[in-house]
Amino acid sequence: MYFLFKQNPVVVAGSVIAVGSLLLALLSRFIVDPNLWQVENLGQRLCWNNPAFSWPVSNVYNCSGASYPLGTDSYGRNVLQMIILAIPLDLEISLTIVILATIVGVALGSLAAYAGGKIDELILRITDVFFALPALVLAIVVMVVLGRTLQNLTIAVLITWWPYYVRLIRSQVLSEKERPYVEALRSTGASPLRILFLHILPNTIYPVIVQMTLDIGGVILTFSALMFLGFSPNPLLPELGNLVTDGISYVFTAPWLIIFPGLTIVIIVLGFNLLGDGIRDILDPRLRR
Amino acid sequence: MKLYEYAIRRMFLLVFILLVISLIVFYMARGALPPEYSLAPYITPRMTDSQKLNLAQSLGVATAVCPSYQAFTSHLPGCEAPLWGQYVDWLELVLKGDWGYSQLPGLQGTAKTWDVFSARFPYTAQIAIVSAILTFLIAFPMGIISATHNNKLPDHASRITALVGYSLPTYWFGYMLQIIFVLYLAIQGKGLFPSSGALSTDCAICFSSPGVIPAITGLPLLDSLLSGNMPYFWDGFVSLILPALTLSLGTMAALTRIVRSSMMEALRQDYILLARSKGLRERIVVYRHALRNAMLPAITVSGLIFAGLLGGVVLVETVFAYPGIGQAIVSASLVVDINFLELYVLVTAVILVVSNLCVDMIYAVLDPRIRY
Amino acid sequence: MLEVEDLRVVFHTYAGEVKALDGVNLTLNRREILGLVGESGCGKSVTALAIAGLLPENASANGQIILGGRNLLALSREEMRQARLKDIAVVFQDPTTYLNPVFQIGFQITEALISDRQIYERQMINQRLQELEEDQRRGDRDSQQIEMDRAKLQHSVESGKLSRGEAKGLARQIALEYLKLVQLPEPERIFKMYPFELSGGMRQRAMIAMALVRRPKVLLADEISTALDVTVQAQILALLRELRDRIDASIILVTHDLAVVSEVCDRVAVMYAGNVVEVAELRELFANPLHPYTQGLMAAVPRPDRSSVKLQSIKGSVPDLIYPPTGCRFHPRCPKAFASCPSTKPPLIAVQKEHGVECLLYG
Repeated sequence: MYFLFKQNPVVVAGSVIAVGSLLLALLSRFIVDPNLWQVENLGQRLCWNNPAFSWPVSNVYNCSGASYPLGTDSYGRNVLQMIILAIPLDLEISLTIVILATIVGVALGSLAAYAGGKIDELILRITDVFFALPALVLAIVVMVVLGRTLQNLTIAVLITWWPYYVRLIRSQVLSEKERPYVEALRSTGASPLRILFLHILPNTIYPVIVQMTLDIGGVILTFSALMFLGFSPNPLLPELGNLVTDGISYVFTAPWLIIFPGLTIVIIVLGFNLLGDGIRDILDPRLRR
Repeated sequence: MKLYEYAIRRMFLLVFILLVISLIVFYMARGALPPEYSLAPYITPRMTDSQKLNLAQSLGVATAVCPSYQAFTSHLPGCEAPLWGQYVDWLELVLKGDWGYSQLPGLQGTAKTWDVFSARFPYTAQIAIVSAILTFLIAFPMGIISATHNNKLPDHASRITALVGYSLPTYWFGYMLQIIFVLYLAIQGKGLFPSSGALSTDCAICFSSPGVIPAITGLPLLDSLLSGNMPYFWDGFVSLILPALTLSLGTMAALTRIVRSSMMEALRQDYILLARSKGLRERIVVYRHALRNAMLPAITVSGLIFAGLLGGVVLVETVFAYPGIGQAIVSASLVVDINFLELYVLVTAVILVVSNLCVDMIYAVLDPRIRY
Repeated sequence: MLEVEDLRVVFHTYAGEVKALDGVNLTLNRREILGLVGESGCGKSVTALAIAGLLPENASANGQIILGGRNLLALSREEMRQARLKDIAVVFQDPTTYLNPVFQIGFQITEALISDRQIYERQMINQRLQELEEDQRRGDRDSQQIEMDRAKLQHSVESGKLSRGEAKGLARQIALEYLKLVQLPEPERIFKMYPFELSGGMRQRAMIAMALVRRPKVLLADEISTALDVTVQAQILALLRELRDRIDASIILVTHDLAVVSEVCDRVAVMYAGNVVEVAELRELFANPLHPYTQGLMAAVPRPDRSSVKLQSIKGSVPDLIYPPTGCRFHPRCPKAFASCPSTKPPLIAVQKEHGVECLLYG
């Protein structure tokens, strides 16, 4: 498997980016003072002094003093530092949501698949209600009601995400359930829980892992979109979508405010997508070749 | 079960879903927020407290026994009418078509929710429809070519494009397009495409023609085309391009990936070997035998694609200041305009569930193994 | 009819070069059923696919496959496709996966006839005229109706080309004839059904009809009975026997089951590890197997009348085709191997008329 891994440049690129961003997230507190995002420096707002690049915008304020590789935002903060602070926040929220969604999905999905009948029907109808709304709309409604805190944001996105996992795991368990080995296990008197956790779930784990990896990126996109729309608890909060919000009024006068935080999102999401795709490619053709 | 019986069954499910959603939204909105919020569209600045109390009582939000407006706002027990009663009242009104008033027009006062909504809806519909067409029109050929030229240049190019497109935040891409076309590709100081609005602000012709557009289809762009109002059409069209591109990027990427993988899966099947052994032309083998089977997973995903479009349109309208319901919902959330929220949510749910139903029916037509 | 000379096929895979066929020599005579027997992996299916030009992308084939005076391996893709259209037909093993689940049976049968109808025009019309004559002779249908059909056909002939609708109609009638031929009940109903609505045996018959409807010169049947129950298997084989007399095709029947071979074949070719090691007429082969492998095969078949004799098996196992044995590929397992076996590949030696062996014991 290591050989296959090395052979597939997609996975390599993806894991480099993904692991890199995770590392950066872990080490960020040593690179940048984590309280820096609350410090405003209004004398240095919206300036750009990186000589490597110049913007076709008139009247770019040239920062005096310190060097700001990616310019400063409307509060005078160093954009690069803010991005570095934002990465761990985004990853933390995303991982929390994905893991929780998977847990709920496993619980309800296997319950639905195994119990069948009315319970299955009920769970399916509940997921139908959730599928009737686009994820973003549902999250907006939840946020309207719950109020703007980070916790509520996490809950909102979690609420929109778990139905997918329930459906995914339910269909996986359903198809595994019919396999001969399950019948064999049942005939030896193994309890359903044992069969489920020790045998069925481990066999269905690969598509779930692929989905989780891909979703880390997807969740970041969703809740950064929510923050962008204005649902963040604090406009200063160092979160990638929130940083983009800051730049809305300055699209054509200080474009770096929008470009670089967004670019960071793109790179991170791309990394996890590559990783997820690569894992799927490794696991799948192995069965074929 | 025949196909139409299945459809009817699904429609009942739709009603059930609508009721559940409306109930949940109502309870969440009215229940979790202070009761004064539901009075907001109706309160004028000069109302006295007793007038406000009367208003609250006439709306059914406060009970008749409530002593004063202060008691109402400080949540004295017994002052607020029971939520279930409020819901039933609301439901009655809604079924008669009365969606109450919305505060969205802002400083210009309030207007009937339905009017606000229906004035904006056509613009959202325009973007959504154009984006949907773009998505399918581009994703299918790209996916098919990718699958038939597996591991060669077209495949790699489209895979990379799809992967990157899948990873871009919609709103960010919208701004990037604006930046590129306004800052970099400008002509005579003006951007190539307007960066905001459904019409550019200096389209003098558009606003001067009286009674502008007859409502044939309800879509301003289409109607202007059908009625020959070309200046309006061009202007509106040009303003539509960037938002539609932005919106369709994500769904296009997702669909391309699915088409590619299901085509590759179909081409691996045994019946393809049989088709070749019959001496059929390769084009027929691919486009008839393989594609027909590959379309099934792609059609299944269409439901998710529509959901993605309806969600993404909120972002796109915000970025491009396009006057549709997506832009409105953001302001509605900030002021907690309950009536508009409810209307928006329910209409979206109807659209999604009906389109999912259509997708399932199309699937049943295409796959003879599914017969309800 | 069909000559295969020194056919060598190599598969280029990640694990290595698989030398699947190592100089296969075959002759197929007109109107005969040639059995191609061997264990799994010996290359019999590969031979059939090579003849039909259906080898996968990673295979390279060398040698000669001569049909109608042309070497099939030298043809372009388009020419090979035409050859598959007119001359060669394949019936595959598993009727469940080889039929497209979203199209009706009738459609899949008539597909090739309609989509290249210019090619099939004359053939379809003649075929139909012939069938009408037969019907008239056998008194199967009302002669007035037969006359009407014939008149309609003459009209089509005179007016020049067939329209798509006419072609569809003709093709449908021909397909129904063949569905009757393969002994499917209620052909009109089956025509409109989907594969999943039929049983395995019926699907296999439909596949046979699909192959025959194009009137191929060579029919390749690749393990067609393997996926079926034993009783259905017997029916299909009986069908094949009957059909052989009624249609003018030569059949190569690929199978691993000697019993199947003994039911239907005229001649038999035994394959081992990419070579044809022995070829003879049916009775001759069973009565007098010459190659040690064939002898081992015969001895390995359990026979109820010899229940006291211990079952014999061929020692060793099938060789790895990436690194095949040198010389005669059977020599590591051969009880009669001698000094020159590992170094010399035995040529095809004609021991008697119509009985050839590739073994150094005989030459």
